[in-house]
Amino acid sequence: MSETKTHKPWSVRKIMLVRSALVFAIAVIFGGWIWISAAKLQFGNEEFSAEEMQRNTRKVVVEAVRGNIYANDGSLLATSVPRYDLVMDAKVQGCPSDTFAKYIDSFCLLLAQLQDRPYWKLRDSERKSQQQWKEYLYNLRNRGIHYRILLKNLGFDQVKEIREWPLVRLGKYKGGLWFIEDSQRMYFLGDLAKRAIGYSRNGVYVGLEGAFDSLLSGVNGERMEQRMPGRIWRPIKLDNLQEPMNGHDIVTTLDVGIQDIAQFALNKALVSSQAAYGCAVVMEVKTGEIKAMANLKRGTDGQYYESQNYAVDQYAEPGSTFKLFSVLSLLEDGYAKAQDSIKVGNGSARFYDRDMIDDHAPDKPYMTLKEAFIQSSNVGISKFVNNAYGEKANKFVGRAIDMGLGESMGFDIPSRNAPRIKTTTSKDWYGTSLPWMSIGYESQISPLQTLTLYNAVANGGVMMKPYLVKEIRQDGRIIRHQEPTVLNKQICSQNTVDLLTSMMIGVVQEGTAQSLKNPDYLVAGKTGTAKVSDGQNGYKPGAYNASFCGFFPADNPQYSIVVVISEPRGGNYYGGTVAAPVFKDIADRIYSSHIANQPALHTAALPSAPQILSGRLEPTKLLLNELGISSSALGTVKGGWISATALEHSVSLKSLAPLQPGIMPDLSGMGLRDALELLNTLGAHVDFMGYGRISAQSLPAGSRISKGQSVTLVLKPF
Amino acid sequence: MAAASQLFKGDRIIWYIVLILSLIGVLAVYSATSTLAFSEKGGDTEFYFLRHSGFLLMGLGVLYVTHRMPYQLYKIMARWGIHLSIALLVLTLVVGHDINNAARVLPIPFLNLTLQPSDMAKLFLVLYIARVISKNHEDAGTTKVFIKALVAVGIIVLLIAPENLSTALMIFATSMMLMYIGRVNLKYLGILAGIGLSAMAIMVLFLTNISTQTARDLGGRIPTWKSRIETFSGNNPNAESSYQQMQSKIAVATGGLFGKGPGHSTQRYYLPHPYSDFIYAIIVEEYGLFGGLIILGCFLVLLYRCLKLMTASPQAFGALTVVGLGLSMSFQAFLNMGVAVGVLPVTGLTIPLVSMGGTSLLFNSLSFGIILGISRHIQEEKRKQAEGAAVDA
Repeated sequence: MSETKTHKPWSVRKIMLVRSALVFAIAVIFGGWIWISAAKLQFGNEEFSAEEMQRNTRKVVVEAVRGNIYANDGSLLATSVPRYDLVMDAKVQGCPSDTFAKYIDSFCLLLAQLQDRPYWKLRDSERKSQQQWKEYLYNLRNRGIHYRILLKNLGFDQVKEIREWPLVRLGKYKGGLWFIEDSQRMYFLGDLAKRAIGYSRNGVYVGLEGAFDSLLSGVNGERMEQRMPGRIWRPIKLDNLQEPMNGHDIVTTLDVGIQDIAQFALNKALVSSQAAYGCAVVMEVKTGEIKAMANLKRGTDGQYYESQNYAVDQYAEPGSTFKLFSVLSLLEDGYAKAQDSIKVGNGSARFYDRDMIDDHAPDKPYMTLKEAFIQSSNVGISKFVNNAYGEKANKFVGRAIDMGLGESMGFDIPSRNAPRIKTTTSKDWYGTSLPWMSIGYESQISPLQTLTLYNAVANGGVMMKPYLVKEIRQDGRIIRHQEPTVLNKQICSQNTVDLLTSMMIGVVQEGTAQSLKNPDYLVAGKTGTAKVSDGQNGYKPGAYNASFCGFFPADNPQYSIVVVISEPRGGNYYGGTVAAPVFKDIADRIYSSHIANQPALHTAALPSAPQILSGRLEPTKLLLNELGISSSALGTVKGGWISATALEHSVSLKSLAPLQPGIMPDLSGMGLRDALELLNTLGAHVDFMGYGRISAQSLPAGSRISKGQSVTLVLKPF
Repeated sequence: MAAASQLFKGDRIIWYIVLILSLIGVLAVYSATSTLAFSEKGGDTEFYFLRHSGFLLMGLGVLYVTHRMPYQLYKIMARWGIHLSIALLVLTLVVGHDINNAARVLPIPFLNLTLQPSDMAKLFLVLYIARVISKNHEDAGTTKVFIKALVAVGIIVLLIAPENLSTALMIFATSMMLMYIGRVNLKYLGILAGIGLSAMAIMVLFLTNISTQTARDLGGRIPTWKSRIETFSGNNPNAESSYQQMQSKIAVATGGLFGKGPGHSTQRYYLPHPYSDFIYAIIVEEYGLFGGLIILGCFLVLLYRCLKLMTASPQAFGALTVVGLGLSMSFQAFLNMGVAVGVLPVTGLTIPLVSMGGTSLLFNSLSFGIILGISRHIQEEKRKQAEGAAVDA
């Protein structure tokens, strides 16, 4: 018994030992299998590494900042600014329902109150009452929407404010609200010169933006980013893989004031004539700088918009404005003198198989060359030209070609179309081609080319190349400066220039454009009224291009202007009555502000505190701080707009009053650009005269102002 | 040294294992929860780190207290724990919280905590089986012993299986092994194993042959099981579990010999539950094959030490308890690792003391506490014997 008793526990232990050794052996084998499997995964599975790499790192484009576009005085026309969208993840897990419920009311109230702030340009979907916002956000939450833009296009100031709002303050993961940044192109002049400056149309830039896109856009950089917890990507290295090169800045020749006048005047004429479209271009005679380039087209709503560049793109038969070339040619070649006369009969002449007819029957059977030009007699001019060049049409055509009218001038904004001067070798050259060419048909040139020709006459025969870009800068350094370019040193003799000028003065004084006659300055120019071609179908019935091209003051030419108004309605389609008034509006304004009263410099001793224009609060304060001048704000400043009063040693700033939507504010003392921006937000159309600071406004402060209403501002130098 | 051995009694190597596992666990959990921290806690990356550390410290406290307990207390646990476990399991089935479509946890009233009773049941079932066998130490091979153990195993496994099949299967297998080592009649075990395997085979056949729609109609965890089995057999490349397995393999494959370094896992963004079910994948990714070997080695050594303790234990209960707990934890760890490296179908099993999870930390600490307590008891018995021998001499 005792033997078995001592033996049995040993036996028990032995059995247990053997069995546990077996279990352990299995465990070792299993463990080894696991580890070897892990090791095996690491070999021959390159696709795993590749996939892992590709998922957790990414190459990101570092966008280059697009260059700015400036007006000739250095004011900004276009720039890229960071804009922000407020985005909501209505189902963010870090925001439990009680937190959401706790803050939603105050958050929605603040959203709703945005409507009371006229300077926050809200989209329609952003105009909601507190209750509507609340319903909207709860709806998003219930539907589990993870990404919805609540507010678009916020400026940095606005972001700074909204960041402190309830819910937003909690951050992306707990509040479900955050901002995404985007760069947006800002145009400071609204519709002013919009087409010439350009913009992005379906992702493609037009105008200067398009023409200089490669310079403006710069070169994007690249960097590698690595995935981090919480949907965050972090740059792997401090340095970018490829540094971005910011775009170049472009300084244009555009004059904001003249551009505004040109556009306003053109718009007025288009509206009253109900024309389809039109353009007006102002050029500086001596240099060829384009001071204004306005293009307007009627939209489906009957309003006019800057949507196509007719001045550059509209290659059409110019009509009577081309008679300048015919007369120039006749005089230069010595085939006719101003006083030579020709029989015009009753205003009709037959060339080959076609009758040439004058619009207005001549009042006498014979006309001098000068009279034919002044009265714009088709019969007279065409007969002169046909008599002179009938057997040598090549000489007439050759001059136009030599002058460069047959080819595009390489303008800063390229055109998709090209001019055409018909030559004797052209397939469609016909027996009637020469006489009709002489009065502005059978050739297609752009308004800008017509202007260039007239400008050459104004400039004593020196043809200047029109240009819009004065300087190209990179990071503030001028890398290219455009000097005026001479296209043709002498298109004709000084004698011819004088004769042509006197004839063009005659057009205004006694001819087809007498509406331009004024006691202050002399205008030289020529009207044009051309039928509008309809391609293969001949001419559009009843459709005309009414134009006027000329320069002023005729005795000392400073500016040349072309105006073309296409397809005016209502029976009045003559250049002298439809287009000439636009010329007058522009010329009057330029004359009064740029030519007549060249002001003496303000020489009075400056007060110890400077004169401060009314305007935006922040820059004003910044400037005063910079100058070390103390400023005091009276009361709270609403909306960020102030009026400033200089005291003896300090400046007092007070809120601009009244400042509400639909109410005209007091603009006195404000600079033009601030006033334009402010009135733009009120939807007013601004018209101004003079320069300096605003001294009077057509609409008194406090009166109602409606969208699209015109306001005239009078500026006086201070 | 002397002071340390006064404070920390019992098997020193097991103490080291506890230390290593805890440390690696804290590091891996900190890294693996970063994504969860952003989705759940608003980017507060310390939240889960601190919570895990807190539970771990609590667990280590429990461990420490447990290892100093009188031996008798373990026996009392073995007696009553099983009843408590069964009660809580039943309660969980009735009022349990859903995690991943499975009612596995029981909310604890008044405390913002939940309890996963399967972790508790696993521990107390081992103690219970050890008790049953040790009480009939002389005739462990009898039908009575087998039936007694079988009833407990059956109840526990059947209560866990509907919501957590993998844990149930693991508990069943662990119990089988423990009974095998405890010398329960091989014939019975063979029959039981046969029944178990046949049931599994039938189940697999059933799941692979019903349509997905039928599986959905049957409800519960059936669609998940079906999907996991199909994924593992390569028949369901688009399933969620297939995605998980692939992510896990990528993690292991890109780890290299020494890993990407602490906190540099990228697969944590793609792996579901990288802090528990797939913690081993994260460990291999961040610490490489080397780190993977350390964890694996820890559990092999743990098992080895437990078997050594068994042979040294004067009491059958202690011997079987140590083996049972060691087996249970090592086996579970191996299953987790097997899933991570793709040799086993996807399960929801964690690595003891490493994975995040309060209940699991607590009961695994308790397990380690009991193992260390019994090893302390064995050491003391030995010393007494040696002293007795010395006195005799």
